[in-house]
Amino acid sequence: MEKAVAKDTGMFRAIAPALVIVALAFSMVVIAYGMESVAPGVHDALHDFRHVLGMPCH
Amino acid sequence: MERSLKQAVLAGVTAGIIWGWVSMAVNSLTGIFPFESTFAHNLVSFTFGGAIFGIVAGALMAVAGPVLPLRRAIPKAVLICGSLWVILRLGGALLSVMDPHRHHVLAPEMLQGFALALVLGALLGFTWKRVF
Repeated sequence: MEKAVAKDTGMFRAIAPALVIVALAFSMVVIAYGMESVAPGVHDALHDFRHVLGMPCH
Repeated sequence: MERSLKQAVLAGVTAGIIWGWVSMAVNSLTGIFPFESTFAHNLVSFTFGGAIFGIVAGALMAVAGPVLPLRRAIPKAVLICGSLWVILRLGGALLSVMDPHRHHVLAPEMLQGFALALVLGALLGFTWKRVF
């Protein structure tokens, strides 16, 4: 039982950084396209940043 | 030069924050996009956005760097950041095709954005080698 729990914790520790990076990559896409449906307010908050980066905007 | 994910994230976030400020300064000089928000607002948004882009670029550098056919850190990082920008821009082009009234394509901003992506690569390559 303890071994199984330790194995699960070890697996989580191995996967967690990758999950965080995937979440940040998704955030990058949300910022780049100003996806209001995913994160309300992101369009206005990072509007100038998106334009300076050359991403399409209104 | 291989790095752990933690080192890659630290190098990426450092390069990304500096890049955010550089991007603000470059756009102020070129005037390609007249800023609509205040300086304080942009300082926060460019720092935050730059950090996110830098972390992702750093993580990509840790994952894809060892398999790239380049030896030095700066060319590798420039290639990764340039490719990342091109992929994002292709997605943006798709959005422009689907909704041309909402997503305009502006060539000067696009060129500046690509140049800045290469600058992020140069900064990431530098922090990769020197800082951590």
